[in-house]
Amino acid sequence: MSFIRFLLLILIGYLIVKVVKALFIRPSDNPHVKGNQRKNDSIQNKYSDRIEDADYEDIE
Amino acid sequence: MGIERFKYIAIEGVIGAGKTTLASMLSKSLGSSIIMEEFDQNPFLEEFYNDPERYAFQTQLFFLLNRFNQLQELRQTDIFKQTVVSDYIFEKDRIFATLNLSPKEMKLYDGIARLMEKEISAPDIVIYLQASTAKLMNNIRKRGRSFEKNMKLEYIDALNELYTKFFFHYNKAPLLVIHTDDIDFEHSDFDYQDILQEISHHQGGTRYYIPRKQN
Repeated sequence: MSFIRFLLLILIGYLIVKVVKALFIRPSDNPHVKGNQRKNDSIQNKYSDRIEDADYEDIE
Repeated sequence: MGIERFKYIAIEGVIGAGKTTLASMLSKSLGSSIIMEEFDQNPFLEEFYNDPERYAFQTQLFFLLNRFNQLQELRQTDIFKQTVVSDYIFEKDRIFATLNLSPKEMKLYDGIARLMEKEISAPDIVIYLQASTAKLMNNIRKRGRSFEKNMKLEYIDALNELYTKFFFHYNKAPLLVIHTDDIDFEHSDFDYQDILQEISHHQGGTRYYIPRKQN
């Protein structure tokens, strides 16, 4: 019985740590979010470069 | 003076601006024929929206050839006898290509497009439907076309900027710019009739439509 109690305590402890982490970790610390952010930034940079380079003055 | 003097009317605008709606309404009012973009015929379009880098060139070339064929047919028909309304101009393809193609692809595309552009007749008047990106996104969501479900705000925003830049320099045909955020020509007959009046009175160059207030 004491072994099962011990296991339960570890499980509860693990869950508490998970919940606390989820509450306090900022999205910017999350590598997945950072990856998406980087991807979005690079798309936006690509778009703004292409908008800047666009030249429609000599279209006949 | 009258809308009948324009035998070839083209409507332009970013995705979701209302081009097809206005073109259909005009064509009905004028009893004219209509040329519509055949975007649903493009076999690469859905893949393009999911993976733009990979499918951009194929998608652009398909549109370029498709639009060229459509407008060539128009050139062969006697447009002095029949009025035609179109929901695009040939050069729109270039705006999309600017955004979607890599510099190397763009060079190749540019060579082909320039050859084709010489063969295409300019419209008698172009109506450019301008809208804020928020309004465009809202319209795209509302119409719910399956291949547009992954449309990104950044993409529409960038297209919107490019359209503005393109039409700032546009001088191939008389141009009427209509900002559509505060009007609803689809559901308000007052707004639609006002636009018809504005087209009728257009005397060349670029004009910006200012909506009349309903009493």
